Amino acid sequence: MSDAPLLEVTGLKTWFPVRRGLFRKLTGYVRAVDGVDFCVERGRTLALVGESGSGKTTVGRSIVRLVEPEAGSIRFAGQEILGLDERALFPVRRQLQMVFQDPMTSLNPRLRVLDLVAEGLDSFGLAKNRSERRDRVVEVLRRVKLSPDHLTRFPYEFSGGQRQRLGIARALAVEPALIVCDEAVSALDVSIQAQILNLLADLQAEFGVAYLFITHDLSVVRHLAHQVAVMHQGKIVEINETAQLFEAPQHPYTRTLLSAVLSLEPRPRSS
Amino acid sequence: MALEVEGLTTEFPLGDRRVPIVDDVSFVLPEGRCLALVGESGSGKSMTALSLLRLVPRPGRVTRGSIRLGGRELRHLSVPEIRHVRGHKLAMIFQEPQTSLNPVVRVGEQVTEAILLHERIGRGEARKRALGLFERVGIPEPGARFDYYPHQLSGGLKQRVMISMALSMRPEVLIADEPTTALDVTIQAQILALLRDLQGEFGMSILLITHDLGVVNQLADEVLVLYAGRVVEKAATNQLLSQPLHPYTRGLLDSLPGRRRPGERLYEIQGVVPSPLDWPRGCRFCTRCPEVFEPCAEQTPPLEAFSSEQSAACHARHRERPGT
Repeated sequence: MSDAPLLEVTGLKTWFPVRRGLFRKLTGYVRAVDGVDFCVERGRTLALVGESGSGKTTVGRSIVRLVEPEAGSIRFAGQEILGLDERALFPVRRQLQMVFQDPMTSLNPRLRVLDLVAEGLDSFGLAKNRSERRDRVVEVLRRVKLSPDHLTRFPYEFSGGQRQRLGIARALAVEPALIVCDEAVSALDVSIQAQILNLLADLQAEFGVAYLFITHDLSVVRHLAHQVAVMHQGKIVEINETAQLFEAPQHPYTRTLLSAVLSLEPRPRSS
Repeated sequence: MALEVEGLTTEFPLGDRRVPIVDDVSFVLPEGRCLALVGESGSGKSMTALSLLRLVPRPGRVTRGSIRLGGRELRHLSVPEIRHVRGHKLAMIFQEPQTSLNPVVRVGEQVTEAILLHERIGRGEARKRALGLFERVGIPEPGARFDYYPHQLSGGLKQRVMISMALSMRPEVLIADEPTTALDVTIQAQILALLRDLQGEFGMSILLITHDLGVVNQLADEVLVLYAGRVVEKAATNQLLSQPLHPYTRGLLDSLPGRRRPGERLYEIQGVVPSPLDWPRGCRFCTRCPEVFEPCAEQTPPLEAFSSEQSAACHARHRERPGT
């Protein structure tokens, strides 16, 4: 394995055309991501933070090519993947998975758990026969702390936290090197959020999976990220090791964000 | 005017049973103070607020308890009377302002209409007052924004419009249901600061409903922690944050990433919030509680005062300190 970072993004630009009027005339572009550089190392977590509209989600979607970037370079395990067509990209997709914010809208409601989690195994032909397929699904369910009894159930039968475990199980089943987590714990109750954050940490320790963790929640970032990139208006304004970024933020926008974090320390009150 | 709630119970038919989604909730919100109702989804915190305003969706209904505002019982008011109370005395703002604003009416017009609905003044006067409120809640260029439609405003500005509408009646109590949950952190900080200023200026009380203890710490003097429809702990905010008594409150605090050293394992409250159909008989937290022992599954622990600032409903607290 080379020393090159697992994911190396340089000069990434993703623009959305703005069309107006009867003939849908192109009147300009929304520069959602406008020249972004960063790396994710193997087995590490990079958090991408910013407010709504900062472009953080578009970065994540550009990397897994749910949207097509305008320019730049995305090197994954040393290979440039930006110019690749869908066929050439296919083997890379196994290595590069995504977990979404709302597990209910990202799980096919008509598939049972067995088929949901096995979907990746099926498309990449990773299971030789039905019993191996089932065994691998049971194993990955065990890893995310769901019971094999759940195999024949449908997504609606699960709570929010369990559905997020299913989303993670789906990504994990194909043994990816990188998982892009887009606000993966933001919709969960705090007690459930803690369970999922611990699970993500365990999986990283065990399988060496790297995370690109997209979130607006700075206390989560401080807890789990090795590095943080702060996005504002389509650009990364600051990127640093987590401890340094929190202790000595350089960019004024980072300072604004950090000062808005609500403390849990008791404070003086008027009576 | 103080808001005093005693033994409030709101039931929903579920299967062949009636389930108390809000179960025997009592609190006092003194004039000019802020009380927070805290809990996870399904705790009954929002339903408590809706019960106060008599807005519980059918087929649910308030079955027991009393709701007194300035000594006046609200539970048995007629429909026109309770309408007058809503807005004039108790106003409410919600998590998603866009769902409470009419998308096809200009925002200034909506606030003007709200004022006209409750007061006998001319349209010109009402407009002037609405404009003054826009300015007060910190809407930049209020004159121009007055003629905007809701979709032309950001989430933070829409919430400011909602706050201006709620304030237009100078309510005694503002019920704020997750007022900042849908907003970006920097905007959240601004809205919380605004609420704090307005509370002082208007002498309002605030009933804050939230799942976020950071938000509680910014605004609330006192906190009620709800779990599965019941109050499990009631305490002054600083006391709750520094020395929680109930295992559920402790678990909530310990599961927050902001209170641990980076990378340290977070405390996990085992399991999930049970569905109302599976609520245990005694303490409703007993199936997930790390301190559970014999009486918990059988007897409902009463809410007991452990100091002048703190009460909890937990059998295990007696085990620690016999005699109290």
